[in-house]
Amino acid sequence: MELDKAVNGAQSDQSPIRFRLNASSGVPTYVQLINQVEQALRIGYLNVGDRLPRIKEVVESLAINPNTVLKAYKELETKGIASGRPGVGTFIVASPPALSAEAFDKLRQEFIDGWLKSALKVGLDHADIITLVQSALETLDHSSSALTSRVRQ
Amino acid sequence: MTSAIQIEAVSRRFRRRTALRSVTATIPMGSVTALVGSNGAGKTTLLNLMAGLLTPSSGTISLFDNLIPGSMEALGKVAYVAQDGPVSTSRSVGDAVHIARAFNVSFDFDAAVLRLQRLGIDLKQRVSKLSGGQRAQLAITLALARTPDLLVLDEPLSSLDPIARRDLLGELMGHCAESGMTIIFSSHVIAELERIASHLVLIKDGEAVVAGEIDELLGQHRIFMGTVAEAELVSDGEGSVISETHPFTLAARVIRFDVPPFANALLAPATLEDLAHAYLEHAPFSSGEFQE
Repeated sequence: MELDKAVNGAQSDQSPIRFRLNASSGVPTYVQLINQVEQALRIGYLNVGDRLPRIKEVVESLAINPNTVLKAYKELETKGIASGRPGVGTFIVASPPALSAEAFDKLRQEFIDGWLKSALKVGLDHADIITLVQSALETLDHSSSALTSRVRQ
Repeated sequence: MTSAIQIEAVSRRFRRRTALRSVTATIPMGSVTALVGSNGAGKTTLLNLMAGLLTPSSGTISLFDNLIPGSMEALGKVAYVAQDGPVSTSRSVGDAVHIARAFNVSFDFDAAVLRLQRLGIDLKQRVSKLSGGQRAQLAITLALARTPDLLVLDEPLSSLDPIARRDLLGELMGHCAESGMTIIFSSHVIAELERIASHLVLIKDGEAVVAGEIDELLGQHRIFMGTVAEAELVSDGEGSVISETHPFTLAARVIRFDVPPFANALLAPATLEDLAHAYLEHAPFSSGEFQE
């Protein structure tokens, strides 16, 4: 943390992250914001104690409705990742569950060797596979939204 | 939530022509409302009624705590940027700012000058020599300097380039976040307003065919790919099919559900663009444009 502050120097008041949007992804804007915070935490770009960008900053740079940012920050609070301090800002208080690089590689290889190879064998193309994965994830999300909200303190 | 604008069964006729037919809508405080419709649908008439430049032929329209549009109290809270020739004067930009200050009880002179400088608009330049975009920016500057509770914008983006559009939208959202200002604006460009609007009013031939909170509206609608008959079959008596042109072709059909839509793999979430196209159909949208 000391190092971070030294690096940030004069701009310590600024948040370490800046949001960007992918307009054509079809993912709702507030979900994109949540994902970016979680990704930044996973790669260590954001740490516990860091401030998220102020709502005014976000809406000015992205040209989105303030409620969208509020919704994302509230969701991060519900997940236990962030906490709002009135008049000060929203701060990171915990990280989402992280995965070690080895565990990640192992899962990836299992996915390629198993399901992905059999999908290609029956003639699915990339678009088919992406659609299938997305719809499977949606099905899963409906049945267990609690699964993703677990947080490592 | 308290309402910023309450529109009840408002109609407006011009001689033989009826511009608005029994429009009812509630615009909550702090909301950003997009008013969408084809050319000549009645958008400008509705905005003029809110600004008090017109009075309804029948029905009532009130602002905040029962203020009549155009009344002294309402004028202090509302700023209106009209679509064409927002500021017309042969004087300089600087003079226009001074005049606006003289005519308004509260006017943030410094903010207005700063904004014009940031946009590179010379205060000594004659207003008549400004480009269309610069003139629109001047009108918006004067409206924002009045720090209104309600900002009414008629096609604010039409004369601006893409970068200026984005900057303006970001700036307006900043004002919303800071002061809770209510904004209502008309536009044709649905993709641009999808990210900033919280509420939507769709106007077709003088009638408000849809009015409400966007998240709620999207929750009530689903997309189905197929013919009208198939869409009706899928909606199973619980929804009504909105997109009915070319009934026998395979096309994206928007279905409105009055009860929460059931989970069905054939029904996909609708976007704001889907909704607008479905309700404003038979307007100049061809079915080919649906896919974009």
